[in-house]
Formats: sequence, structure tokens, C-alpha cells
Amino acid sequence: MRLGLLFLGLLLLGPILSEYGLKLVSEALILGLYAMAFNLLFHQAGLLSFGQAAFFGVGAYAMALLVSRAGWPFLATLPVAVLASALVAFIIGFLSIRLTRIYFTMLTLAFAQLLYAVAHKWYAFTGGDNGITDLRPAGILGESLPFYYLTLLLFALGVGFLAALERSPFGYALRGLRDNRARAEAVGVDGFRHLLLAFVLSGALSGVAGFLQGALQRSVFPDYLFWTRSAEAIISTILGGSGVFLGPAVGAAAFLFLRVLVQANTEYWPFFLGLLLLVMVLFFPRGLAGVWENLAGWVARGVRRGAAGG
Amino acid sequence: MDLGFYLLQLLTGLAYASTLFLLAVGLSLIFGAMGIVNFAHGSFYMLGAYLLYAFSRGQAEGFWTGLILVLAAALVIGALVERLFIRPIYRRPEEYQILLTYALLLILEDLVRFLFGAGYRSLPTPPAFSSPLFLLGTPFPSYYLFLVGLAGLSALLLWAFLYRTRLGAWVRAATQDREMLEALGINVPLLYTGVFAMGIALAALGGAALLPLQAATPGMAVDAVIQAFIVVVIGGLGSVWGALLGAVLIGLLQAFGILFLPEMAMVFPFALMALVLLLRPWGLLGRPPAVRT
Amino acid sequence: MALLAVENVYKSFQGFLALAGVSLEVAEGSFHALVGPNGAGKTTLFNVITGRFPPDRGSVIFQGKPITGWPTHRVARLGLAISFQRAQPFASMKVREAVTLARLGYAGATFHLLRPLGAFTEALDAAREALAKVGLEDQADRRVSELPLGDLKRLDVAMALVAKPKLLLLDEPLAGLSRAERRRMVGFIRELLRREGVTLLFTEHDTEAVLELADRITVLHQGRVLVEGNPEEIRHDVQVRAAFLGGTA
Repeated sequence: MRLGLLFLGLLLLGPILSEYGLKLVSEALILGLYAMAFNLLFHQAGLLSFGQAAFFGVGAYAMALLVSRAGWPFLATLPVAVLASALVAFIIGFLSIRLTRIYFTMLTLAFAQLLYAVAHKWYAFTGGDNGITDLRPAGILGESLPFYYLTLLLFALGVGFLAALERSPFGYALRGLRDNRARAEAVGVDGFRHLLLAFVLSGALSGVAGFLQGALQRSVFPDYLFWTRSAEAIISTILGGSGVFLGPAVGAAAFLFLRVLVQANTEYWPFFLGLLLLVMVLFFPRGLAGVWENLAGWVARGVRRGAAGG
Repeated sequence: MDLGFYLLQLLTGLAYASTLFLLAVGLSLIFGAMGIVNFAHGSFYMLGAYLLYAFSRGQAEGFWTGLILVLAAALVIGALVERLFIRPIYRRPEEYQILLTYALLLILEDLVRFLFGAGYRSLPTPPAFSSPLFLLGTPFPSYYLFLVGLAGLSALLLWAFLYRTRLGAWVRAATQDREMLEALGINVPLLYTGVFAMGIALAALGGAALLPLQAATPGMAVDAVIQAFIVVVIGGLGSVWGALLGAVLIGLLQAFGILFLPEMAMVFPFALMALVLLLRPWGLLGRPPAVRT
Repeated sequence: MALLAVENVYKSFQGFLALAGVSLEVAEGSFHALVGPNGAGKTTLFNVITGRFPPDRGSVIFQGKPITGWPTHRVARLGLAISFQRAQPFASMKVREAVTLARLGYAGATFHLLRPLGAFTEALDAAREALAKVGLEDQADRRVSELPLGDLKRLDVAMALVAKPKLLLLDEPLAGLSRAERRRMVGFIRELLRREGVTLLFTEHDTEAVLELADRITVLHQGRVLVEGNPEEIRHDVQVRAAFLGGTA
């Protein structure tokens, strides 16, 4: 219900936004979807992935390569982008989920950087550093408003899917595995297969985000696969609050707002990101959602005290 | 290609393995004692290289004093980082500890860029190693021998410390038996600070020792920490000997892989790691988990 | 034929021999106690039976089927349910949700991605029934994290019972409970499980409760079976008095 209102609001927002505004909100939706995909693993399954960029980048490259090398229409590449990122997630997940959570985090970072290095060095296929450019979708999707609606549609589908997943037996099984893996397996839940499927789903949704981002930017570069791209999903999530369903999406919007603000003033954006993450982890582990709840709590107590005093 | 050539390649691989060992053993040590994987570990390796450059003012003559200053500075920095950032969140879920070290990875990369610029920073070979040695008629840099000696000596000292001193036994017991150590009246937080500082110092030493061979860049931190992960996953996370074995395997794989399949050399360490994960997921010298996870 | 047979099981950890050739048969319909001092290997034996780790040697046979080395979730789905000594059910859920998830887990039906948990009426009914059996029906909408220890233990038992298990393993069901809660749990185990026809294998330090509940007792000591018999025999066994019951009996 509340999700429906949000989507409706975003739908009505379209026509009143400027070109720049459309681009910015589209980017916020894309980053929001990407961060929500990350949080499916982080919050629901208790898995901290440092390699989401791998799937984001594979989705983007699948689109870019098919459009520029094979002449496919932009939208036709979507299923391939989803499948390709899901497949890569399956392979990386199969290797990374076998041991402890710590191994998982280390291995996701390592395998994602391997993909980055390959995209960077394999000039003949990916164009290396030069990336793949001129990716403006043909037809009306090349215009900002229709593209915004496509982005909103995919965002809504992705978020709606995640909302359903959270309440499904599968979502509960993931939470069970996070809360107490031994107990979950003792009631018949197959930990490895559940976590692997969660990883593949998260990878596929990240791939959708990458597919959209490549088209929005009209180009794809190896840095789509770079580890700092994974950091964007992580920091958006921590910023918004991982424990609230839409927290990562709200965090993504705040993240982009900060980026516009900070990058106008300094080139040391990663430093700022690191500092932000440090402060959030040390002092506000529940993110903006937590800050909000604390504020609301203070206000409520203040009101009650005021009422009692009066 | 003759035998001398292969021996040279072998030595190159071992020299690389030496810096890898210094890098990875600290990671393994910190994990073994504190249960934290330090994602900023490569950043301290990078910092070691930059600090040596700064302390020696880019002059080969400043190498020795520089190296000692790097060690001292790294111990102080390591202790400070542990005290300021990691200690406040010991009781939090491990994800937050990892996120914190990840934040340090982001911060340190840009900090180095800010202080030293984005370009390469390098150091000529120290004078003591300026003339090559000959092995079966093939010249090779004598500095390689220094690296191997440095890593060998470090491994030996570390072994003596961990297995021949009481303090070392406490470090080894720190993860499993924290309560027991506390019951014995041992100051566990101080022990943690010490282990963390030691791990950081080893990484910084490794990074500094590599500087005469390979220039430092801000981007080296993340590559280094991934190399360290590969080494400890192959050898077994938490195992000192695993770090040594993993480092030697990766060093040799790189040195010889580049001869036969240069385009694929980058992928070899990952392939080896994947193989180990499939066949013996806890690493060649690691302990299988007591309980299936 | 025994419902569960453990044959000559060995398990060591880093040189420490936790189980040194344990054999055990649990007859269908019996209440079988596993007793022994701390470190005797009781929990390790439970872990081997439920597949948390494979034994070094020996075999586990359930209903005539060898299940040695099977992963935990597959063992659970055969109808071999366990309630842990340290009951830590899913802390982020409500009581009803935890038991419903358990029901779907045993049935291997957790790969539903879109239908909400609340739409699985058969599982919800089974959960309600299991909660009623342990007397937690009025707590169904509370958060698991808010429950006191006694209720957590009963919830953990409900999460095992909801499987309609053929064999139930209880690891120290009375540990940490108050005197009143102990009485209640003993009565509950005796009446409920007898009525349901569940076979029980349990460990417990409370000698009185063991002698009251069990119709068969196996005494473990240093990873070996010291003696086995009915409560009368065990009560009078000299070896047991010396090694285990000691001065307390």
C-alpha cells in the first residue's frame, strides 16, 4: 500500500521534472535498486557482499556489448543482462558461500576485482579503458522522460519482488539462517541452496541496475566493475539503514545528493565516502532510519514531559 | 632457455613470495587472534611503501634508516588505529568490524593520493645491492636475496615468538579462549592492540621492502589485500605456515605462469584459489571447521 | 528393529577423542536417556546423529536406513527432530512465524518466493497446534526476542514437535530452568510425548528427572558406553555410582 503510493508519487513527478532532474531521479532509482539488491543479502541473509559491482558491471557490459557489437535493440538485451549477471553470481556464489561469512566477504571482493581486471585488460572484447560509448537507446527510450518511466517500472518491479520475497517462506528461511544457522538447518532448511539462490537473485537485480545505468550514462567503462562501485551500494544501505525495507533506496537518494554537493567542492570523494561510512558505523549503525527514530523518540519524550509539566 | 634462466625465474618468484608472505601473515595473525579480517591490510602495505619513500626522501642511501622508521611508524599507527576505531566496536556483529576496516581502505587510498599525488613513487636499489650476483652465469639482482632473507628471518622470529614464548601462546589462544585468558588476569585488549600493531608493521615492512623493485601507487592497496586474501585462502586463514605456503605457491605461479601464458598470468592465482575452495575449502594447512557451517 | 541405531562411532577433535566407539540402540516408543559427566560425549553424539558433522568411523542408522554423514537438513526431513540445549530460536521473528517456518522447513517447502508465509494455512494450523501442545498458544504473536528462557525452551521444543517427528532428541531440556519450570517440563514430556507416541532420546544432568522419565538409560563416560540398562539397574550399578552419580546419589 505504502509502496503503491511511493510509485504513484514518482509516476506523477515525471512530467514536472527538468532534463537534469529526470536524470538525477533516474540515477537515484537505479542506485536504489542496486542497494536494495545488496541489502537482500546483507539484511535478510546476513551476508556482507563486497562484490556487488561484479553483477552491476556484467549487466551493463551485456547490454553494451550486444547493442554496440551485435546491433541488438536496447530493450532486447535486458533478459540477457539479467541472465548473464545471474550466471556470474551463481559461479561466484558457488565458490564463496561454502565456508564462513568472513570468507564470503573476502571472496566476493576478490572475484569482483578479477572481473574488473579482465574488463580492463581485454581490449579486443571490452575496449578496455576506452569503454563502450554511444549507447543511446534507439527510439523514444533515448529520451529522458520515457527512459525515466522505464527505470521507474523496473525499480517498482524489483522492489515489489523484494517486498514479496521478504514475507515469503524463502525470506523467512533466509532470516532463520541469519539468526541461527544451526537451528535453521535442524528444522530442514538447506542453508547452502537458500543462500546461493539469494545471491543469484541479488546478482540478477544488480545486473538490471547496471543495464539501466549504462543506458543512462550512454557508456560503460571498467569502473562499473571496480570495487568502489560495490562501496556505493554498501554506503547507500548503511546510510539509509539496513534494517528498514526502503532504507537502502532512501540512502541511495541521500548518497547522490551528497555526491553532487561534495564533488562540486573536492576531488577526494572516496575519502569522504570512507569518512561517512566510518562515522555511520561508529555512531549511527542503524542509519538515517535510526537517526529518525531517535529524533522521534526524543520529541515524543519531550512532548510527554512538557505535557506532564503543564 | 637454460637452467640459469629458470633459476632466475625461481628467485624472482620467491622474492615476490617474500613480500606476499609479510603482507599475508599479518592478516592471518590478526584474524587468528582477534577474529577480524582487516580489509585495510593492503592499505598499510601501501602506506609502508609511501612512508619509506618519504623517510628516505626518494634517495637509495636513506633505505636502511627509512626501513627502521617505517617499522616504528607502522607499530604506532597500527596501535592507534586499533585503539581509536576497532576497539569501540568489538562487541558489535562482525559485519560492522569488517565495514569499519573497509572504510579505512577508502580513506587511506585517498589520503595517500592527497599527500603524495596520484603518480608513481619509486626508490632506486639501495647501494649495498647495486651490483648483480651471478647464478650459473646468469646475472640476477642481489636485492632478491635480501627480500628472501628478510621474509625468512621474519618467519623464523614469528615462529619463535608464537611457539616459544608465553606471550605467543596467549596470542594463539586469544580467539578460542578469550574468557580463559581474562580469567588468568591477562589484559586481552592490550594483547589485541599489540597483535594488530604487529600485523600492520609486517604489512608495512612488506610494502616498503618492495619499493625498490616496484613503484608505489594509491591503487596498490586493494590489489594487495586481494593478493593477501588469495594467499590465506589457499594456505588456510589463521595459519602462519599456511600464509608461507600460500605466498610461495602464488609467487612461483606468477613467475612461471607469465612465461608460458602471459595473458592469463593474472587469472592463475584466482584459478588456484578456486581449486582449493572446491577441494579443501578451509585451505591447505587450515583446520577444517569443527562444526559444519 | 530399533528406530535408531548408532554403531561403533568414533569422533575426535584436534587429537581429543570425544567418541571412542559408541554403540546405542533406541527402541521405537521408548524414552531413552543419555547421561554422563560433562565432556562424556553426549552433545557430540547428538551432533553426529543430526549430521552437524560426520563421524570419523562408524555408522548411524535411522529406520533401517543408513544416514551417516548426511547433512543436517536432510536428516531433519526424515522426521528426526532436535531441540538444542541452548535454545536460541529465530530471534528476529514472532513466535508463530518461527514455528511455521520450521513446519515448512521439514516439508522442504521453503522455496516459495512470492506467496506470503501467512498464506500457508496448513503450516499455520500445524504451528498453532504445536504451540498449544507446549502451552504457548497465547504467546504466538510475541517477538521471540522478548521471551524468557523457560518459554524459549518450550518454543524450541514446539519447533521440533511441529515436524511430527518419529524421534525427538532433547539436549538437556531442563538446563537453566527454575524448579517450577522443571516440574512443568517433566510432566509435559511424560504426558505429551507418550500420548503422541514420540520416541525420545534425551540428555539431562538432573538425575531425579532422568530416573523418573526414562525407561532406558545409557551412561557415557569419556566417549565410551559405560553401562546400559533400565532405571532400576542403573540406580544400583556400582560402576555408575562411582563414575557418575558419585556422592550426589
